[in-house]
Amino acid sequence: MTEIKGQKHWGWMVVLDLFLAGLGAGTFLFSFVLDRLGECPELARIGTLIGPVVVLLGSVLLLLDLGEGGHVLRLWFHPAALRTSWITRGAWLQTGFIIFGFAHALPRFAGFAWLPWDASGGLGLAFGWAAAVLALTVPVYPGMVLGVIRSIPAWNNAALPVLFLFAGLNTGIAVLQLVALGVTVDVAGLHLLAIAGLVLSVLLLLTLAAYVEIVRHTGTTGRASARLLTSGVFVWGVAVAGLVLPIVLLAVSLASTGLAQVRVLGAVSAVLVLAGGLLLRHAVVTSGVRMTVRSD
Amino acid sequence: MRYGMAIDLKKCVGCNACTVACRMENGTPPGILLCQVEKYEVGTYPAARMDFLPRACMHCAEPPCLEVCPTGATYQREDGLVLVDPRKCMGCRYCVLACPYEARHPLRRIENYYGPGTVTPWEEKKHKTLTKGTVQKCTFCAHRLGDGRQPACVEVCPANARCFGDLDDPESDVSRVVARQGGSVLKAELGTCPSVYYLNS
Repeated sequence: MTEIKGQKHWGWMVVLDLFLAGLGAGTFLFSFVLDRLGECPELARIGTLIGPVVVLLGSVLLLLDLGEGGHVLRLWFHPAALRTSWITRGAWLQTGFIIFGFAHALPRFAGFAWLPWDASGGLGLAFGWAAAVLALTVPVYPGMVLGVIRSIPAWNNAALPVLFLFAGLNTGIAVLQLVALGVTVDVAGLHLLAIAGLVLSVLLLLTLAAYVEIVRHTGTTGRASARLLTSGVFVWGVAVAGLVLPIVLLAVSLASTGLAQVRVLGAVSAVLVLAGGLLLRHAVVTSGVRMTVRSD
Repeated sequence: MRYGMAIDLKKCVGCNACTVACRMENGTPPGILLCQVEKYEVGTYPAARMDFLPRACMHCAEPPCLEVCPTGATYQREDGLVLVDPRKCMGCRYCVLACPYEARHPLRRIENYYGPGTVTPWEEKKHKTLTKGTVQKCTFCAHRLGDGRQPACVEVCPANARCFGDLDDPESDVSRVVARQGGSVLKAELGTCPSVYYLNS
């Protein structure tokens, strides 16, 4: 029997970018929502800065891996590629998010008082809304980058962008739950995060199941990908530890009213969600089996 | 005008002369074969036999590598050739993944065939035409076409299995042989419209 091999052209650096892009965008988005709702203001302030910082870090890693010398700059200076290439579109979306995200977040931090706008003023808020809208696209674009590749059936799948969106937003919640360990928060705010995390984890679990099932039925190459995808690490790491356990922990935290207990349960759940999110991206990227040239 | 090729699989004996001619012509380092012959088994014992599938870039009319290229390095000429401009390629390997024919190869490093420090005069000359960190692919020997010559793989084929020419010209040899023998293309279902036809497949 021939050994099944996933593609080897994209590896850990791409995986990290997919992970960090979703995580950063999700962190910003929920921080912005908390800020708008007037919940956990300190957590929201820090989260709106973490978002663009993390996405910037992911972008740098990606460019180091994918880019050769100064040619990388063509990602921004060859707008004609925006018509067709999802890497170019992603570069623009991420850049827009980083710029607007920083523009919204920075005025609330010491050393940036010189900026001629504040985060809650008209212009600062407009930057925030622009970043929030872009934050919805940043986790989706990696799914599109992979999704348009017809020669890899496991990626050429409409469920992938949805999967990455939910996974990105879920890890964003997780980051905020970890940050909440060190800032002033209240139980109501943490419960809000727990509800969002719970709903996203359930949605992600359902989408993941649908994704694997669709891949399993996408020809012989798809079946091969599904076999790689559903290894022990995937089942126990992504599905059980990264989703089922956090669902249980968050449900328990919702039933609790003690701040310390809610904090710890949220943090433990967050660590599991983050590990599961990283393993999920790794599983999807490395299980991309190419069609054979002769036939599928 | 649209350059294309017809490859008669009944004539191909899997000798890899095209593979070697391509390597010589383009000076590709070890591990990179812009033209290769895939060998595979057909049928079951006792009626099993070995078949060959010579393949390179299909110079698709609708190239998936072109649409994903983020820097405009991949481009399509009016004569249908799909080429890479190394001055624009950032080596992201998106096109390598997008190509369903595995016809693109990332050039991570330029090695010598006989190991470090033993560069042959031919390699010394040819390696100057390669750019590390970019993607390599078959060009249908575009540099030869300008001189009115055929691609190296066509010229060298001892079985005369390959026919090259203008697919838009109904009088060209390649158009006639495709029209007469009804060639097929690889992965037609992907809608890439390859310019390489296989006869007797």
